[in-house]
Amino acid sequence: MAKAQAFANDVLDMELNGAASGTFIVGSRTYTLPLKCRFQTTLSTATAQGAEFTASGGYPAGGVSLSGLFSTAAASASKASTGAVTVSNAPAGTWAGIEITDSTGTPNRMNFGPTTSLAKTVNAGDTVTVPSTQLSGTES
Amino acid sequence: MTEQKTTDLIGGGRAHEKCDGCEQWDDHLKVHYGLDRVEEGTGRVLFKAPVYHHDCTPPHVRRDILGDGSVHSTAAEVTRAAFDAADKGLRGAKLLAHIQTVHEKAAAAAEKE
Repeated sequence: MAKAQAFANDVLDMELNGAASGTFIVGSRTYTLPLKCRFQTTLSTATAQGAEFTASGGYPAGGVSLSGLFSTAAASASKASTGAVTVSNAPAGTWAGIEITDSTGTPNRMNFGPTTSLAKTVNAGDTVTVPSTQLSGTES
Repeated sequence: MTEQKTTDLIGGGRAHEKCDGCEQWDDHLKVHYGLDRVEEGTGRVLFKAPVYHHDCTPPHVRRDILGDGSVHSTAAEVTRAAFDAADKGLRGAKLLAHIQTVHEKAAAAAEKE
């Protein structure tokens, strides 16, 4: 059964949400905004969350807020970030991937990627960025 | 885009990386721009994300990182300061010290807000 496009857009607007505060509910689970982007040293899988950057320098524990970074509503059943997600003065380590979570005390996991480690070596003080449009989703 | 970097850990624990702007290998501060794009299903890497010295960072990358200036953030403020200092010739330990100083001030100011 095909999913109606208006419904698909609504799902994406909920899942890729740039609001600074508030909550939304999916099934029995309540998600707290803002969503956050965790920069990770090991990859996440569907069942296990990867390790995140050390919380030092410019990287805050739990990840970088995505508030204001999904400012364009979903259309044609797709949606992408509208601004870069940046860690300045990053801690030293390996950048493997990212994961999007909510802001609940024990965060709800939402999306992660890529499936192959970026394996990028980061020196202390570097700038690490996910360019605009690279956090995206498509409903089919 | 660029091929995958290899690293050469040297004294001090800083890794050598190649700048995709000037193509020099060194352990100076750099900008890591982006996720690698991976082909869905196969996991095959289609291209690698570029790395630049701050002063070698192309204008379109700077614009993306800094935004239009309408949203204040510590990260944007620190990165803007890093670009400005690097454009004036600051590199290596001096640039790192500058970034750390700007970061501390920006973080303290953000905490007061």
